[in-house]
Amino acid sequence: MARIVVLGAGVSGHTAATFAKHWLGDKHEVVVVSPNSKWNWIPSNIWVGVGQMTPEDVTFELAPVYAKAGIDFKQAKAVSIHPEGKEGSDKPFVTIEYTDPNKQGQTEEVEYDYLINATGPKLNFAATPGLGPDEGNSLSVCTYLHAAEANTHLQNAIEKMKKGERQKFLIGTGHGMCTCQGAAFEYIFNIEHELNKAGVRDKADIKWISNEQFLGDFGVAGVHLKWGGHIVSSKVMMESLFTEKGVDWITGAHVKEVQKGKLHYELLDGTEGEEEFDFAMLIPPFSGVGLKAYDKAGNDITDKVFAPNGFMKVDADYTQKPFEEWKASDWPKIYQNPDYNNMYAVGIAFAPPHPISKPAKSVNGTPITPAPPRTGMPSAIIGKTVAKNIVEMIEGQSDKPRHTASMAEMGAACVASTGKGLLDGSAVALTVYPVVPDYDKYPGTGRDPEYTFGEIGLAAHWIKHILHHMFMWKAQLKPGWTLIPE
Amino acid sequence: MAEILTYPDTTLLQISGYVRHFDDPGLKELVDRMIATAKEHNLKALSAIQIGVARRVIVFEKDGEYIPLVNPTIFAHSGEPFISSESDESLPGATIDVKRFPKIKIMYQDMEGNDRFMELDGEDAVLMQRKIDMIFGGMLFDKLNKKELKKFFKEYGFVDACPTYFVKDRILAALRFFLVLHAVALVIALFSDLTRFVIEHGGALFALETAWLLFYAAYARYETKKYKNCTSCQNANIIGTVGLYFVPIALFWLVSSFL
Repeated sequence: MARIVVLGAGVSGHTAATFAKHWLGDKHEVVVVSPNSKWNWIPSNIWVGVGQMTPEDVTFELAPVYAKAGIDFKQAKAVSIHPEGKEGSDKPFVTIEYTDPNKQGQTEEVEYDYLINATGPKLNFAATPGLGPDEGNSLSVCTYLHAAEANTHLQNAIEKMKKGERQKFLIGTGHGMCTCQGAAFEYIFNIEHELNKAGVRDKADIKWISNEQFLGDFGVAGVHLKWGGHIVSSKVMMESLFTEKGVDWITGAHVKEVQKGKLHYELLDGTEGEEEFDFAMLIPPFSGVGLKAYDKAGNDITDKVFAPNGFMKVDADYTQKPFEEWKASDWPKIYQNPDYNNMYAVGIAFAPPHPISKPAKSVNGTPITPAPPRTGMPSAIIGKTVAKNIVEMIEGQSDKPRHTASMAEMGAACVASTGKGLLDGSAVALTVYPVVPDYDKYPGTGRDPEYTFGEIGLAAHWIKHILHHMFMWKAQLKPGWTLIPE
Repeated sequence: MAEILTYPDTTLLQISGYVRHFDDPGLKELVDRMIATAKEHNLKALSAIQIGVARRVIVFEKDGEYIPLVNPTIFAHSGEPFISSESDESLPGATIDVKRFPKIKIMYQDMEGNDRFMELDGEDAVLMQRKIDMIFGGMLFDKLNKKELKKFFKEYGFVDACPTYFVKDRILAALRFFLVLHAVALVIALFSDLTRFVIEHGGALFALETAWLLFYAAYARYETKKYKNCTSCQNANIIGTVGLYFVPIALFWLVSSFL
């Protein structure tokens, strides 16, 4: 009997674990290690952050779902990986520390035949002094609890505005190396929508601040959207949309410090500025969760297994290259660690070879470049592909991974909400192909214009809402879950 | 020197790609051609797409000399946006009111690939905002809302490169109307024999609606080959639409089968 251990139960890890178990049945073991007791459909946290959904709407308890599926669930955080085993045993294992209230603090060694690292990111608020809810200066929507807290502050702000007080909202990224600009984009327009509904929009100043080189970059070098009857870059559409909605913006900004009601930033040209605010939701940069790795003798091999940013090295080309030399082939295909071929990393946990957006540094040398997103549809596809490869190897159908899921070869669909409402909601629905531009195959923008497009409208909002229910259904392994695409 | 393209030449609607190779002799040739064209037409700035090259390059005349701006982006602006009445050599005869920022900061690369910065204000800032829009596939009329856009096309007699309405949309609208009627009839049939025929002929209706949908897909594919720049013309959009509409069609058939 083989054992697959999956570290993390986010979109990617949950997909990998559930499909692996579905395909393997009871002949083999699947273990999931996650510090959280609940699964969270993160894209809908935006709606929690504006009070349109509750944390209960976007989460469910993992334990009963895994029990039903026959997956061994350990509510614990992974501490270290020992890919060569230890003295007296060649069996690789991970050390975990329980967060389950009944076993809080207890540690355990969990042996594995195959390891899937799907830990997701550490929300690295500490990268910017004063950033984040713990510091009390800015808010986040990265977790459902953060989003619920953001909503409390939003409702307070609305109350103040109803009493005639003016409020300034600052939404965006809290560091020069952040990703997830799309989530911040969704949040700023959901706030704008809610303020309109509450009849206080005229009392609000709303401003966007981000590390994108241009508005609409979204960390993927921009997307193509329908506007004015034809396709334009998201840059053109976003500028029109922001202007139409009366939302001002700052781009090319590295937030240096956040204080109570004020933040300081540096721009690409090295100039500095500050912005005051009453309400700030700033996405933090991501880093690896801090997993350590040790060899058989107990020597620290963390640097060998993980990239400096803490994400696990996989079959990518990590050679430092200038933008003009970036290739689609730099991106991993099978997500296998180059040194230990029974270790894989999926979703945000794998180390990308370089950004997707054109890199930039300020004249002072500060990197101001969006980090590449590895969330949503691509992360689920990667998780499922890795699970398929492992299952085939366990079942003897193959001696090496056969299926690939390079982000430079896959397309992705994304629906970004710009306001929730059955009749007055709206969202941007878009597809990109490939996710990582392939400048050799598609000279110019690096993307296939036949399959890269999007549109804003009410129908997209309905799709977003339907997708929420579909993915919650799927993740709970309810009837027909395997038929629902990633 | 090169010819300056004018709308409705759809080349102008392309989104230009990054210049990635600064040792490419073609870049120098392009810039030389752009400068010659700008001088010939007495233009202060010209985007590469205006001479049919989808590369992020602009030449801009400053202090009597043309500077090539490679991969330019606006990363900062200041001042209250104001209404600017603009026209462009690629949109001859038209004047459009658009909102512009009075001051902008741009980042670009020089011919050696070094990062450079420039601050612009007044007319230069307005011009640069328009030229940068063009390398991202945006024309002046993209700043108009739907109503203004229709009026604009009518007023200036332009043929919209991507029509707002296609025949395929009408086919779909008719199907949508039919499906709504089908749904209403199905609900009524739950309580009355008046519309019982939708249950009795559930299979035939399913076949009709599916055929209607397939006809839409075939016609849409035929029609859209003419309009490569329109999002609604693309294969993926047609496939997605067919998928979305098939859901209620199949659902109605299933409901009819069980009643």
